[in-house]
Amino acid sequence: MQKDEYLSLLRQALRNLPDNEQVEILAEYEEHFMMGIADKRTEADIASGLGDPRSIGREYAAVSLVNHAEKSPSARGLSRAVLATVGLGLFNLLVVFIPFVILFFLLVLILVIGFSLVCAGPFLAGYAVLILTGIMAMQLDAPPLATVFFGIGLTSSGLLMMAIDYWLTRICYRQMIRYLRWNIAVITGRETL
Amino acid sequence: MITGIRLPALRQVIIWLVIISVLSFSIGTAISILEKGSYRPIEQETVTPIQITPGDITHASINLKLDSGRINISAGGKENLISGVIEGRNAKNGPDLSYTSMGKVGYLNVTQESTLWFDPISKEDYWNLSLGQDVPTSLYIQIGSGDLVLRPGKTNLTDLSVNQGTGDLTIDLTEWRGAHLLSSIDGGVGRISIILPPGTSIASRVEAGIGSRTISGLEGEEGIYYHLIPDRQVPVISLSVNQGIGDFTMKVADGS
Repeated sequence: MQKDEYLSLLRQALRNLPDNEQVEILAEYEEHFMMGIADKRTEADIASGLGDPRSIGREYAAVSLVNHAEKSPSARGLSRAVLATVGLGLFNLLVVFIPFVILFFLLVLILVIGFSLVCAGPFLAGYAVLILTGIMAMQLDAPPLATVFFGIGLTSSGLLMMAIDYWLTRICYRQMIRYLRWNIAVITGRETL
Repeated sequence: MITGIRLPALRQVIIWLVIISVLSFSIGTAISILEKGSYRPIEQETVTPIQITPGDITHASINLKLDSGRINISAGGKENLISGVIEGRNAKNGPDLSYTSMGKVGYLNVTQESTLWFDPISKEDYWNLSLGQDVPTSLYIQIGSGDLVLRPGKTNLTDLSVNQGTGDLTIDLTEWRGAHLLSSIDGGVGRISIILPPGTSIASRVEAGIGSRTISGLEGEEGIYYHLIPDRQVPVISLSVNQGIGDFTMKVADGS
């Protein structure tokens, strides 16, 4: 593979990265070619020594998206970083994507349960207050006054679950970023298991 | 200078919520334990008596509509078109009841439906009614969930329509005396048991879903069952049954 073809493939693989990062990476690889030519090596020899441009592009893209997710935390940013990391190898589908999905659904589940409790509490307490004030004369299995407190307890428990969910989400986010970094490093050979 | 609302730290929020939750549940539990012996849930009950005399009508159309509860219809005397009591447990109001007569036909509508705010899940009705034996009657029953027992005795039913969502259904027409009865039974989930009178020509079509099927005293197969008496003078019953899930039993009562 010649230099122009190599750089063209690399540019294509880097197309999702910010322009400044693309320019920087391409300049670095161009320099590799220039130094190799100065050492009397052929362009094809240099290209084969540098590795597959598509794989290199994917690695850079994954690293860039992980960095971006770390700087600007968002669910979308993290999802993109995870998907980019999964693209580095089929094995990552098992060790990155599935754990990420499970974790995501667990956090959503806690949030939904918490929200349900937050909504249910006022209804229960309000119903008991209506009975206490004599507006309604229906049955409750527990004394109305106790039910008011149970309603307050349900609401605060729901809020507690949501607060803990928020706290867990922050922790999981940070750990996921660290895990993705480590995973990329292992795959690219910069770190060993 | 700092302006704006300053939110408390997450750890502080969590600690406060834990305290509030524990305190609320503790107080609630303590009150429940303290009032365990004295607290009784208040049940609001409605009792609506029904008694309608037939007057000079020659035919009656009775329409009963109930969303949840139990209906028991038995044979009454000749003096009333219908009589009995409708009891509602945990219901704010009694049933809507209307009776009008147009010409020689009397129309009775009894409807009991839940209202969102005043009839919680535990609302249930018990209808104990007796049908008069004198006036030819068309009977239409719609019941959402609950059991229905229909034993009209010698009431001259000319039409019978039952539409039931869930619950058991028993129709005993052993003593039925009439010339022709056109009946349609639609049951969703639940057991259906139909006892038909002897000495009557019967033609029935049965479409039952999941559940056992027991047919006794009738001939036929694959949903078409009949009990024919080669005499043009005998009474005739035409029956159509649709059932979703549940056991189905249909038999002709013993007797000549």
